[in-house]
Amino acid sequence: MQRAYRKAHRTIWFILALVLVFTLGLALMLRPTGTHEQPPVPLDDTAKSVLEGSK
Amino acid sequence: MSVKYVPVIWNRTKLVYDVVVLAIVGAYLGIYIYLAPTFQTVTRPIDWDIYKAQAFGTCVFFLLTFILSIGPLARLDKRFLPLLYNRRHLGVITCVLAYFHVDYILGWYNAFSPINRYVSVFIVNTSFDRFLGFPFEILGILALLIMTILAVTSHDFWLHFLKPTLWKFLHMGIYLAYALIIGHVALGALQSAAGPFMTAATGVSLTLVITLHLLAARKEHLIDSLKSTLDDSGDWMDAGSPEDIPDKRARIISIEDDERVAIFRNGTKLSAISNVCAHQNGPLGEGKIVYGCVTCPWHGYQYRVEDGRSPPPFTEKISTYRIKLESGRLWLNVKALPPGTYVEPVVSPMTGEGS
Repeated sequence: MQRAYRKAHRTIWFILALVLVFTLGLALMLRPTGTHEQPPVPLDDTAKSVLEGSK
Repeated sequence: MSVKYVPVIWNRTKLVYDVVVLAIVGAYLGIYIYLAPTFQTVTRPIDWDIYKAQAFGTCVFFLLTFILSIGPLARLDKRFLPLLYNRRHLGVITCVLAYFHVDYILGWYNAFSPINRYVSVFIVNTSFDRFLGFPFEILGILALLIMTILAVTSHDFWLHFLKPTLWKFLHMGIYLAYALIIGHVALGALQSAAGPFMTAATGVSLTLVITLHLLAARKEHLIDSLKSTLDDSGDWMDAGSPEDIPDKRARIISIEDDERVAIFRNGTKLSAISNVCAHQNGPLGEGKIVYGCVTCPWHGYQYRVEDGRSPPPFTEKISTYRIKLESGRLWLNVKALPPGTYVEPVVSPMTGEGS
C-alpha cells in the first residue's frame, strides 16, 4: 500500500505540473494588456451644480 | 495518542504552533488591510472591502502554498519535521480564512442586485465554453468545498473511522483544491491585476510546490529502487552491517512486496518492525527510540521495538519481522509477522552500547 500511495502521489504531481504550468502560462499570455486604471469621469454641469448646492 | 475521546489533544507544542500561525496571519492581514492602502498611487482609491477580500484571498493562497510545501520539505530534510506536527490546524485556519474571503467578495460584487448573492455567484457568468472569461468563481467555490470537507474530516475521529489509507487518499484532495485555486487566480485576479505582485507570487508558489513535490518523489523512488538480493530460499534479504546503524536509530530497507522495514538498534540489540505508523502511515524508520519505544517522527506515536505494540494503555500495533546475524551481516526475513508479534531481539557484539 505504501508504494501505491507513493506512485499515486508521483503521478498526480507530474500531471499537475503540466496542467497548471500550461494553464497559468496561457492565462498570462492571453490576458488583456494596458492599464486597468480607469481615468476619473469629468462631472457634467448638472452634477457640478448639485455638488455646489450640497456644499 | 489518547485512550479516551478528546476533541483536540492540546499540548504546549500545539499551542505555540497555533499562536505563531495566528500571529503571522494577523500581522499579514493587518499590514495588507491597514498599511498597504496608504502606499497606493491611484486616482480612484480601492474600496476598503476590496482590500479585505484581497488580503484574505492572498493569505489563503500563501498559506496553502506553505501547507503543500511542508510535506515534501520534511521528506527532503528532517529539520522541517516540526512544521508537520500540527499541519492539520494550519489547514483548518486556512479554510476559515477562505470563508472570510468569500464573504467579502459576495458582499461587494454580488450584493447590489435583486438576486440573492449566494445564487447570483452561480448564474451571473455561464461562459463555460470560454477560456478567458470562464466563471473562475466556480473554481474557487469547488476548492472551498474540498477544503471544507478536508477541514471537517481532519479530526482523528475520521482518521480512525475511515482508516489511515482511505483518509490519506481523501486528504490528497488538497492537491485538487490547489489546482482549482491556481485556475481561480489565473483566470480571475491575474486578469485584472494592475501590478506584478500577484503574478510573481503565483509563479513562485507554483514553481516551489511542484519542484518540492517532484524532488521528494524522486528521493522516494530512489529508496524504493535500492533493493538487496534475496538468498536462495527467497525469504531472507541482506540488510547490511549492524554497526552502521546509529544507536536508537534505524536503517530502512525496501522489500519486494512494496513495503519498507525499519531495523532499529537499541544499544547492542537489533529488532525489525514495519516502517509504517498505524496512525497516519508516518515513516517510523526516520524516528528514534525514546524511553525504549520507537517514536514516529510525524506525531509522536510510540511502539515497543520487540513486538510492535504501543505501550499500555494504548492499543496500536504494527507488523514485526525476524532478523538474524550471519558472518557479521544482518539478514531480514521479508515475510511480515502478524501485527504485535513478539520477536526476540538479535544481540550484536559489534555494536557497543552507545557507540
